[in-house]
Amino acid sequence: MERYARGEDRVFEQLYRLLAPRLYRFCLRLAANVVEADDCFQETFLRLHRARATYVTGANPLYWAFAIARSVYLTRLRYWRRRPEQLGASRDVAEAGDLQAHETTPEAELAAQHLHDTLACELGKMSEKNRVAYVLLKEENLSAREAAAVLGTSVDVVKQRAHRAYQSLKSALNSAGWSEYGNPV
Amino acid sequence: MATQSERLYARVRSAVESTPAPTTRTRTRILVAFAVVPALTTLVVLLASEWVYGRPAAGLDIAVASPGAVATVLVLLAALTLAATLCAVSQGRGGLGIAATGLVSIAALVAPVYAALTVLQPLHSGAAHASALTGVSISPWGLRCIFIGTIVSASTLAIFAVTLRRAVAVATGLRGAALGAAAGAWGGLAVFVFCPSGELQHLLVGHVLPIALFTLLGGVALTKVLRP
Repeated sequence: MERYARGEDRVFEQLYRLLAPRLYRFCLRLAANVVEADDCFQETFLRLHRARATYVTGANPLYWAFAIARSVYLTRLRYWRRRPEQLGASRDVAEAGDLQAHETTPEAELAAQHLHDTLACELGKMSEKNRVAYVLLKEENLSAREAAAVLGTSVDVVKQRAHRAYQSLKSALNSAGWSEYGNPV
Repeated sequence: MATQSERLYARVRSAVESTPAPTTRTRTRILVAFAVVPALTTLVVLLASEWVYGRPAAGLDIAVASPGAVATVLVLLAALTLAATLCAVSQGRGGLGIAATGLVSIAALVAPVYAALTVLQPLHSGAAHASALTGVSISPWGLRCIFIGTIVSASTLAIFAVTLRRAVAVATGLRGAALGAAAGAWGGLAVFVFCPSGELQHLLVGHVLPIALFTLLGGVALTKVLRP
């Protein structure tokens, strides 16, 4: 990232390879559907490119990219909120995610689909703030301090938001007949 | 047949290649801003004070109740201004700026601290005395001070905006407010050096209120400029 920030355009591909997998997954978690996630991802890279001179040497570029992605997402969210007639997800976030059945029996696939639907529905219902805090802490494995820096808030607030998200996911899973670890109860 | 990820890469690559990006590092721009803002403030104050009162720093030597107290307050105001500016423009170690609580503190505290330093303790013997000494009438609403403060604060805010353009990925509203407070503090410092009035109404309206207004202005107007 440091070389790219200095103006070396040829390292872009290398940078893309390093950032893209986790950044795309983060965009998928933020956005309402795959098309929206693709747009968010592309816009994030574009802004990262435009703002590359502002990169601070030694900083983690992934966290910086997360912060830009969230900024992009919030901008898009505000845009769509002003045009509610355009809302309507075609596919849900978790459809392209990691939740897939490891067993191939029809029952296992059905159960995994049910679990996935429950989680996706609950993630989609919760507030953006709680969802992002949860994703950064539990899925991207950032520390509370790092997540607070990415979200521009305090450590305590991040912990509270992630806890609220966790509680609502847990209660949604329980009421759908699952334990919080994804086993049927 | 290209896969979805290859198509996405091609889209991103094409968008990036067709978008110009500045390569002047933000740290360089911050250093330039730190050189320009004090020079600009000094220039405006010296010119305005010379033009209006016929001396370079009227607020520091006309109708002064205690030179020692004025010097102390000047040092404290300079420290407040520098601290607010340093914190507001800081990119932090992670490149995401200082913590949100720090930004809130700057935005919320600069104007009250400035008021506490300049209003609570009477540093000048009053506008009437100053007018008598200089032969220049001083508005009870501080119109001249508002003008001088606004010139300095607006220029400073514009310099900060150019310096940190597209450099603030998180808490842009708070960062804008902190930058506005810092810009207001530079204006406040300028009018402290420029103005010999000690009237409460004049100080509150002409010196303190613009700082609060610039804090709000920064929070509202800089958000889009600062976002990457």
